Amino acid sequence: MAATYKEKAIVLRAYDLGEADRIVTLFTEGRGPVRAVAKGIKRTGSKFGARLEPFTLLDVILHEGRNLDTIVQTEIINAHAPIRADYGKYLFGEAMLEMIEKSLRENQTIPRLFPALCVTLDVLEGEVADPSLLLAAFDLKVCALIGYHPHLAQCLNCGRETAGEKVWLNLIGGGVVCVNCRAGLDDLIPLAPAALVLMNQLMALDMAAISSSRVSPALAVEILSIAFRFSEAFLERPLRSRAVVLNYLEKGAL
Amino acid sequence: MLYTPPIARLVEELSKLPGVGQKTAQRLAFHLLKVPAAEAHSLAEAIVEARDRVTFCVRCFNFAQGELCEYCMDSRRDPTLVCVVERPQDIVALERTGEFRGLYHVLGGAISPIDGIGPEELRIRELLERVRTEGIREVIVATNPRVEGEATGLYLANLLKPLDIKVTRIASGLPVGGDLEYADEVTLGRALKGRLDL
Ligand SMILES: [Zn+2]
Ligand SMILES: [Zn+2]
Repeated sequence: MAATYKEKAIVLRAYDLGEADRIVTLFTEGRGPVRAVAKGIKRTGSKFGARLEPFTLLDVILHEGRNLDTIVQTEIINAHAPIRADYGKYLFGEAMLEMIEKSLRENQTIPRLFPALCVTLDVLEGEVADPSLLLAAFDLKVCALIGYHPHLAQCLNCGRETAGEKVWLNLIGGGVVCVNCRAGLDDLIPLAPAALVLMNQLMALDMAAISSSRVSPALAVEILSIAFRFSEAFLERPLRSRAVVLNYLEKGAL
Repeated sequence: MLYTPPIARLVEELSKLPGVGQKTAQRLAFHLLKVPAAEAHSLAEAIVEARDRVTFCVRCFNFAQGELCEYCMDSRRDPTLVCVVERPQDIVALERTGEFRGLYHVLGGAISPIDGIGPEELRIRELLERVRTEGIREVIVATNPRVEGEATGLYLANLLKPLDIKVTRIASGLPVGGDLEYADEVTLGRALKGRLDL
């Protein structure tokens, strides 16, 4: 029997359906990603107004449907206006939403993932020393929460301690290999000692601490590129926001 | 259900249209077979003519018949005022107001990283070129008041303001005929920010 239910959710994306409706992908706290119809939303004066725009954290009441659920009522908790008012924050934020969208199947829930996105968006909204680090940390942490924790402390192959050494990240193995074990392996990304240290820090620190961290711009871009490639290897598909974000960093503010 | 080949082909072609499923395609096909032949022929001719004769304006990327669209060819319009929109359909909506006498520029969408659309995928380079060469004084950003449209507006403002021209954004706020009580806080906040002297 069709039922009505209430959820806390973050809007991941919205696309048009016919002349007046829109399909909204909600990341709900209790049911994971849910695709739902917002009827009549494109009409000016719709009861939904701006409540179903990406980044919005809301209380939502949905009605279960045969194919898609229908959004009945919405109440904004946080529209994350500062992210939407800053072009750079918008790009990094969208990349986070895409990471969630691509990581989970519909109705799949992973403990701690919903609060992780909430906290990260709240941090992104404030003062951030280098959003590249925040996004890199977010992607790596999402991989770890889903079960693809990067093995960084020892060589995947021989178990040798890696601290202070140049190592290679093995995307297929999900960790690093040492200089002796790298031969014959494909899909390796060289990782200088500084990059290895930074990756460890991004995994260990919380988002608030990362938001005030700063490294050289080159290292920040390197670590973000690595986080993208690590995530894509895990997701087994490309992240579309990657090129847009990396182009933006390459060209500076524009 | 099996149809004779011409009907099956018609149903198949119709079902490729956006928002048209198999059922609707069947309904449309049977409708077209029922109406007078002249009516069905007229529809077929309209499709062929539109496809063959409609091009994109080389200046603003609106739909056109020939090199330039009707607005770019109209010498009574103010070429120093350019309104930037996401799609040609938006021009039709703006023209219905009768309030705007400048020219247009169609971006072809809005910046949306989650869809892989960055500034390079839109006709922003062409807009920059127009601003540099056409003596434009003001660019009005009329992208949709959605997250993607707003971000595109921010990007254009960052890009164009250093060129010493005026960059404005169409106002957004309460829908005329609506109730304050039911407005969401984003829309109402926007309306307050964009308030006017009385
Ligand atoms: Zn080894
Ligand atoms: Zn034109």
